Amino acid sequence: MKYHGRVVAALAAGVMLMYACGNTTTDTGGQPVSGGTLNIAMKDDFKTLDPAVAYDTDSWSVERAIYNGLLDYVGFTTQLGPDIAESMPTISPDGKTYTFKLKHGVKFSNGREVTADDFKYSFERMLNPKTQGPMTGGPFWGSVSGTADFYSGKATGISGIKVVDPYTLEIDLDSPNQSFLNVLAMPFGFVIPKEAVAAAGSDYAHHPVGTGPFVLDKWTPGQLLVLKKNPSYFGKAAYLNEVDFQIGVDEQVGFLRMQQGQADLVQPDVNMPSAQYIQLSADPTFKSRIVKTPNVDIWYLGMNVNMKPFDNKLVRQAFNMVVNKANQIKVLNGRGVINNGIQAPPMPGFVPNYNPLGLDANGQNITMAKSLLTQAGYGPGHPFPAQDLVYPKTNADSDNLAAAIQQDFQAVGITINLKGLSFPAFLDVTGKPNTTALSYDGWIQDFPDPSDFIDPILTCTAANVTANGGNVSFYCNKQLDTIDNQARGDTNSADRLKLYQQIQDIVASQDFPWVPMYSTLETSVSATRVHGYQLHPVWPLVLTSIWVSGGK
Amino acid sequence: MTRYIIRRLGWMVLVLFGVAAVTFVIAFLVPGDPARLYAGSNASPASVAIIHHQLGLDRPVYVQFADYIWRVLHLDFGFSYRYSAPVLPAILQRFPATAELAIAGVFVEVVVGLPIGILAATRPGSIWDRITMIFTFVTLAAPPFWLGLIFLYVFGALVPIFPLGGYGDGAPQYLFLPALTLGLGGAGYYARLLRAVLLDILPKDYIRTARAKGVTGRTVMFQHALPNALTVLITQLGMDLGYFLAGVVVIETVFAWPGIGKQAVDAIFNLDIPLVMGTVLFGALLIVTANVAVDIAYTFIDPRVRY
Repeated sequence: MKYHGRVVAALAAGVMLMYACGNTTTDTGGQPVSGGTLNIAMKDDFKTLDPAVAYDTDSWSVERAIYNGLLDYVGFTTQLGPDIAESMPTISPDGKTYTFKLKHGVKFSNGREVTADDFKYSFERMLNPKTQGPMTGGPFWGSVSGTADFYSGKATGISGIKVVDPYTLEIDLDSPNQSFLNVLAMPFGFVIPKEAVAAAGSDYAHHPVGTGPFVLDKWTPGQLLVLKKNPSYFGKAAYLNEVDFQIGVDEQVGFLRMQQGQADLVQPDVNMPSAQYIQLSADPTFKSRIVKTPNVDIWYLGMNVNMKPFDNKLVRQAFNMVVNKANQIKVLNGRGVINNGIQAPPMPGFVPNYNPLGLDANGQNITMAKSLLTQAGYGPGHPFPAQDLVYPKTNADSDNLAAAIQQDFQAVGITINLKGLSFPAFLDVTGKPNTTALSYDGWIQDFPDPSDFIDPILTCTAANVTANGGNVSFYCNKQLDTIDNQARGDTNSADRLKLYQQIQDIVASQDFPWVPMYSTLETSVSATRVHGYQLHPVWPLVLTSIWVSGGK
Repeated sequence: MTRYIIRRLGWMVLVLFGVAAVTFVIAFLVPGDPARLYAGSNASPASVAIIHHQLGLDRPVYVQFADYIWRVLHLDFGFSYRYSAPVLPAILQRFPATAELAIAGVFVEVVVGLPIGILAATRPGSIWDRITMIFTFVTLAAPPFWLGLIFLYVFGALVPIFPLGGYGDGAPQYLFLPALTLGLGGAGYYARLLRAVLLDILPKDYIRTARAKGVTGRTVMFQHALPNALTVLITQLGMDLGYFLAGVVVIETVFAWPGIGKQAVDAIFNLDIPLVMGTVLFGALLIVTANVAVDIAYTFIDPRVRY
């Protein structure tokens, strides 16, 4: 998710060594005990608890506790497994039909058993334009047969979603899509009961009913959201009896509350602010409580290939050699790793130490950069035009990161003017064609599949828009799209990952629409009475592994 | 008086319409697509386009404005994108907390500011005058967010006698620090204002006459000087109350106080146009009402004022 700081757990020992990071789990504290209340300080109120609508990590933190879907990630891994589905689906030989068998006896918190009809209802409601959800018309569910007719109103239901019997659901795709199971495991695939929506009307967002380990007990907007353990949960029961989200608590105050024993976690779905990270890293009580794990993200400079001077590939290549990436990580207090590619370290198929341009340890080659700029026609008689670097002012580090870039380019005689914008304005100006030449961008996963780092941000489809685009470079290479389409349907995992590595080579060593810079390290901290707190590679917050000592 | 009130109410409607029009135009001039923020930053352009249409944002601005005004006249303030809830109930649900804080803040302004102002005015040039004026200088200069964080750190963490923010169902211990932070800046201003007004009044003939007749200093101050200074103070008090009621953004943010100020900031950052419009109109209504109330109060305070 773009700019929603989110956590990703380490998957491989190599990744862990690269980061030289600390704990990924808080102390296990001996034998888990049931009971008690976990207090979580949150800066903002929750937008909605309607899984058809929410597309932010705050909301997903709660939704993950209330709902279930057909599939989920096994433990704290990126491997998919069955959730309400009895087993992984059977897939037809052509890769286009998925058949799910449902577990018997899974009940909503209102007491009614979940059936295949509920999934059909939930998916159709989620994709119905009237619901105003973000999946409608988008690519994730676009391969399901019959969605186009459903969106246009020609059909009242989606023909590709079929209820075979109360415990069997079939989903037909127009073309094979290897990431579709990841899509199903997103919160948009959670099941909800029709009668709860009918009862709550337009206010279902505040009256959620699901099948998960917790149920919503109370939500006072702007103050408090309380989850209680669901006694009829079909899976392993949570240890906690209650989770209280204290709403509207500024992060500085949240960490004070933690130090005073009034909060157990502070905004766990986003990275710790630098100031608190430095402070708590030096605190004897809390330094061992800090958990770290690599994020599935990539931060880069986007260069609009349709705008001067970045329509010249030599210029783009030169820019790839100027940024001191090690300095960027210093600004983040060491919470990151240099990334010269387009995939994030924990992603399947990630190539460690990828360095196609032979850059030095800082990610630079200034001599080569100057030579390339000369080849591009820039020099003493024709100085490089000053450029605006557009960046979002999303946190306290934003200005410092951009200023470091400005200094890097001064070293090669290029003037960079910093243009920090509010997040809405940033999205607006970078999403329109021929509007922004150079921008500081980031991409954080929707799900841990390489396709998510290509389809929305590097394809011709993503470039061919008039507004709200994710391909900020407006880069289009039909060869890349062809390989991407091939990879989407390739059922052989190893071959598929090789195709994505080919795409990485095209972007990072041939066309240069980006200056890839780094991937971040997620950090979070918990109070001393919290045990079993672990960062998940996909979910912003998992409550079921946590227990507390010392009662409330 | 009745004609005056009716005339003021008429102006009030015009002011509110003007506020609505200006806010609406500004909301559309600010770069950014509310549908993109509503959908989520990762949402595809096609999905955003559908939501854009569903929210009615693809209509001409003047059509949207006319539609908005028509609905407001029917007390329908729209649906918040940010909170997935109707706007008016969302504002009304949070307004009591803001009102509680606003009244407490004004109370602190008066209780702290007035005695200091009187003390300084009755002993001009003395050490008390200097000390109180330094105090007012500090409270006026200290940014509320900084002062709030210091109070929280000192009285919530170092010497934990107050909670570290929050509402606590309006319990007094939760209210104390935010009200103090809110009121101290105003108290400094009131003290300086009152000192200046009193220094202007105290040398006047009627005060000298009272003193010559043997009236005690306390009686001179509270029965002769202070009532004449009240007109100025009431004006400021009414303005402050209206301003505070419209939402005290910084204080609510620092102290996790669930009022309409924090809600308004969230709405602005999320381009939640219906909630921004609703909050601005609600705030404008409170400020205009407070002004009218102050004007009417003059007639009770100052017998010379008649409408």
